[in-house]
Amino acid sequence: MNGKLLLIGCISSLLVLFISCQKVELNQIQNLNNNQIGVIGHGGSGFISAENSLPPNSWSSITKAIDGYLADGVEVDIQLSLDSVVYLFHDRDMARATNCTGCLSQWSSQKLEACQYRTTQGIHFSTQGDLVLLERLFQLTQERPGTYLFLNDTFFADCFSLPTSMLSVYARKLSDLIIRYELTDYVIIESSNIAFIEQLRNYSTTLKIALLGQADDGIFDITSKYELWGVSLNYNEQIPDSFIESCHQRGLRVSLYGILRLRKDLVDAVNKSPDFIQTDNIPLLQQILEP
Amino acid sequence: MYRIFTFWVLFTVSLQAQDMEKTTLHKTSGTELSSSLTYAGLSSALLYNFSIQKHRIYGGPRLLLSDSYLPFRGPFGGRIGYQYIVLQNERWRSGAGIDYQFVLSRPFRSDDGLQSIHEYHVSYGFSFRLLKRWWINTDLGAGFYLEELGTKSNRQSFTGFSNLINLSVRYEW
Repeated sequence: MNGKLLLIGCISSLLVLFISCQKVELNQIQNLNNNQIGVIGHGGSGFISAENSLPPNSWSSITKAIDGYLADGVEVDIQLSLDSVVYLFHDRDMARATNCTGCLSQWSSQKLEACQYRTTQGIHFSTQGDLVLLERLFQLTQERPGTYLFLNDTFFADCFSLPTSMLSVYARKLSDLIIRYELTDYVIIESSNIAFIEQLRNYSTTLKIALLGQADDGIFDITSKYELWGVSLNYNEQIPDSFIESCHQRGLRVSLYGILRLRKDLVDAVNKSPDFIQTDNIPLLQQILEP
Repeated sequence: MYRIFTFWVLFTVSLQAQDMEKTTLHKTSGTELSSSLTYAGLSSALLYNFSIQKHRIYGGPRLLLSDSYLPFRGPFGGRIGYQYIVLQNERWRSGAGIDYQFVLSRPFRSDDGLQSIHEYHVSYGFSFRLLKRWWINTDLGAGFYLEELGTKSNRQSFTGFSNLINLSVRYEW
């Protein structure tokens, strides 16, 4: 008898737990993305956690998101090497994640070939540990039409001896690559650096640029001046629901980023009707968005 | 993790070695609610147990909580395992075993095949008798996983190491 009570009690507890949780109303999503929310993998398939041991921005992480989870796209961090080659990498100092040290921008691409991501317990058996070239990611994306790439410009000014001139080089390299691979429709450059945005606009008026900013009416002057595609907002900072609506009214897409892997946070983010959500938990967000 | 695992085994053995009283295990059945943390994430399983002498087997359905939006949507899977009781007395039991867990899900916006995560662990755990028929059970384990993602026509496979931390409540009759 007590065994049956245990069984009934467990099932009832689970049901109460889930039924009382907040749910999404998919038919109430209103945005500029055909009322769909794009699922974007943060750093590929998410940053390192107990459930994900793949280094962010690594090839395995990116292909897992795009080909494994069938995400709508990925967000990656980009940096420039000493000889102006664009790489995917997050940190300012390479020592934490790789066997190399210092700023990535202090090394030539030839020296960076020797840099490998550190393996950690739980890592996939056959992970490709090389640093990834942005061009390689573009080649992959060309073979998967419709895949979005959010390029988060990671520009550590203290890593360059002449930071202002490097901005121009950086902008030109990026612009050339995107146009050469004909990816202007699906590549979005995210930046909070106004000088960099200005340089990008100098090179091309067709590039999609999202301002990394706060939910503040002051950003609309910038988005208007540089004819930006949209804004990327940090979910962990207060975002009034009316602000996202204001963005949509101005023709600006909204991408949410931040710590988005728990059910509660993802449901809340979906209910704000953004156009894209950058998440560390792609499967859960996909479950929430499945009709 | 391996140092923790080694300490865990020695700790449970030393605890039981203090109590010299011995009991004989008969046939028992039981229901167990377990929570485990593995590569796939946090999951809950409702298990049926069967023990005879020093052998215990268990099995039942599993829900992957960390990827679950609504419980009836899953992702669902299963868990089965075997444990050999190494040491036992009136209040404690400990043993080594093997554990297999899996979870299935559909690819996003596609009906082309199923995605799966299979996890295989060897583990060591001990059970403590709370009341006459109620036990608390904990296990630590290590092993590997095989993850198959994507659609049937474009399968992506990943393998790697996995750890198991399990906590459960069991009722035996």
